[in-house]
Amino acid sequence: MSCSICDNKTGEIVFCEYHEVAYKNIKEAFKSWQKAMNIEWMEYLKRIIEHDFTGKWVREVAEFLIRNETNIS
Amino acid sequence: MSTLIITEKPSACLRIATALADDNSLKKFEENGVTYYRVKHNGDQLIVVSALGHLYTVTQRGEGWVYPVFNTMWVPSYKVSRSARNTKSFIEVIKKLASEVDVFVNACDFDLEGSLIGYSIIKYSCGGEAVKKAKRMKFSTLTKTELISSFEKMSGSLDLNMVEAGQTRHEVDWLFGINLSRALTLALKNTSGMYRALSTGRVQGPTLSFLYQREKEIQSFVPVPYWVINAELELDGNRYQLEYSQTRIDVKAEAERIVGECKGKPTVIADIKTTEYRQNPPVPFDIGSLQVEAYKLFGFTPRRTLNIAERLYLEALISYPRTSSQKIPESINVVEILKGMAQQPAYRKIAEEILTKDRIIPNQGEKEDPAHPAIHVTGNKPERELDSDERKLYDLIAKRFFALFGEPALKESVKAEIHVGDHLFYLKGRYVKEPGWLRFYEPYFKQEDIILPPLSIGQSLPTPIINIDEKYITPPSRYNPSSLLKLMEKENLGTKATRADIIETLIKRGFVTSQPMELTELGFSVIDVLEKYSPTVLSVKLTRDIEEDLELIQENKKTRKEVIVEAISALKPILEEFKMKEYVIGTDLSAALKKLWKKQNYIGLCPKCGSGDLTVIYSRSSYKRFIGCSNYRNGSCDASFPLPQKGRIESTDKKCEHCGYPIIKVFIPGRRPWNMCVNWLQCPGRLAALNNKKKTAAEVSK
Repeated sequence: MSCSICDNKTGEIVFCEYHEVAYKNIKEAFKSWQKAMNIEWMEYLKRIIEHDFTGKWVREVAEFLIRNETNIS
Repeated sequence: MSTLIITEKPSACLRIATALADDNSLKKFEENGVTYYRVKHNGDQLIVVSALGHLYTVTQRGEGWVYPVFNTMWVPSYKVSRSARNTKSFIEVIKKLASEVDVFVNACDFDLEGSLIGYSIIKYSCGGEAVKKAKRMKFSTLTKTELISSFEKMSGSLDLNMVEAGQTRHEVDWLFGINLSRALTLALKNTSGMYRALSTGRVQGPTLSFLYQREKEIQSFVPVPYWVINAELELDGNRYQLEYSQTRIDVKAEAERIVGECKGKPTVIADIKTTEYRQNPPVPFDIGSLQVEAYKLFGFTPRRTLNIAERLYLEALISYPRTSSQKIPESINVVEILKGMAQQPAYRKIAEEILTKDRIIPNQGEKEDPAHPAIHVTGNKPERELDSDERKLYDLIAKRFFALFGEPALKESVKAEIHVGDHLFYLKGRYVKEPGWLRFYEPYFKQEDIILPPLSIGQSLPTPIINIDEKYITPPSRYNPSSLLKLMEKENLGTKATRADIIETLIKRGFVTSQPMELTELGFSVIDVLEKYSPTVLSVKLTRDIEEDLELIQENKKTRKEVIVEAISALKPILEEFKMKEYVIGTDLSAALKKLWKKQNYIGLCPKCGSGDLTVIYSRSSYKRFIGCSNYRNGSCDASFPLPQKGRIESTDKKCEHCGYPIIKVFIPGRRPWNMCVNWLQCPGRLAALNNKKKTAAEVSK
């Protein structure tokens, strides 16, 4: 399989090693965001896309998740 | 008796010859572009000749661009590298002069490299017996007094332990560098037919790995919000910032609750704590701390600082800079240095003030270097006008030297605890009571004083204005050359002499950008492959163990042969694995490179056909580059645009405001990068600009 974002090889998962780490970080950080301001998943994704501190891979994954309307699993 | 003195560089050669010459005995000679001097010293004939850095180098025994190669030999550098071809005449002149003398002296810099440069010249250019008749001059400054003393007290033999360690370093680095770089390059070539010089090495690999780990953290970073409560208080017409006792609040609602609870509540000083503390003078500069400070203050890269420091050393203005010592030993006559500095108007006042002290003893640091003291000024006056960079670095070294003799600075900090209702805030002030050494280190020490008005416990204060600031946790910062150098030093990677070069190599190879140091796609590809198939190459432990071995050789506790054998045993399985997996490695590398090249050559969507991609193409007949549309192959679009043939081209994601074609950026060394429209031949914007120019020129000529 290849990564849904960058075409790098992935094995059995949707994302490559880098985008997979970014995806895990997005899910992990969502817990802190929810606790901090009771935010919805999609709104959270939009906010992190806009933020200057957000890493490139995180932004790419967040854009992918919005495009595909993926809910948090 | 006549003696041949070999120096490392031409400028040191003149200084040594001048220092050792009896009155009017210095005679200059030149042969094939090589200058040497004949002088009389206490009646004896001396010939002082210079090398040009390393005249001999390691190469492989046998032919072929293959790996593994473990058999090495030392040969003249000009036979291996075209860039060293000017060293040939130096070897020829030294060979000729060697036949005139009975004694040989290595007067190259006193470090591993200097010991090795002098040794290899004496061994290979001066005849087999010369090493036995060779002596070593050891000095840390090129001042006349020290050079004479060094010549008169020189040791009766060469420093062979240092030579061994130096040879081993070159051989081990060669073994790792050549074998691993060939393994990478050949994996790519043998698998895909593509050629691109790829490299890694014993120190380069782990250093790149640090940058890789940091880049991964940055690119996968998600900012998380938090809130900070700030308050502003007005007292006697001045505004002061109050800090809330809890520096970070993770829940927005909680921050809002705190602010709500503070509103309209009495504000009272509950406690005041005043602390006095002394800040000791700084320690003397070693090369690492000088590079860090020069980067912080002037933005000089470590390499640039080292280059400037070496120039100052060769002018006898500062001591030898490649030192890891932070100590000024008692043998250095600091009083004489201060007297010398007092001759320079810019430093007269400070130097004279220090000279009036009862005890003139410099503050010392922890680190030691058996070969050299910490970096310090020599007291000599510059013989020429220093350029701006040299002036800055010289001033920094001079001021640091003065600061070592200063009294500790006395500072006071005040912390008032202020209750706003049930919530605790702090009002903090600080100021320098007695500047001590800070005066000598101006303008390189900066601290803004915050002076508070008189306060008393129980005093009621006006209600502060309280705000909530939304903040985010920040990603780790990218390394800059200075912070990377610090890390390498901490991890014992490379040496004080090589670290700056390793950093430059990573930039030159295109693995990282220069500032900030951001890993490029090529850097990612190379490290991905190494991490997957040969993680040992990236291991800090491997290279650190070798560094320790080199130190053991210097201490005569290990031999060169033992270390080389160990290095080969570490390298062998790595290379075998590489060979075994060459196809997979090559496939991975070529895929990454193809992606990288595609990305580098991609300019944008073709505005002419609206569906093709504009990319940089190299003509097979003329080898010239131009921009063409990918739909040319199916005959549906013939858009093509000429390009400058020199320099690097980058796409910008911008469109031309006049014609809508993509804008590219052109980088040509020595010129400021500029943006240009790819459609520059037809672009109405450019045509209008040209017409305007013509019009102006015509008006001027009228």
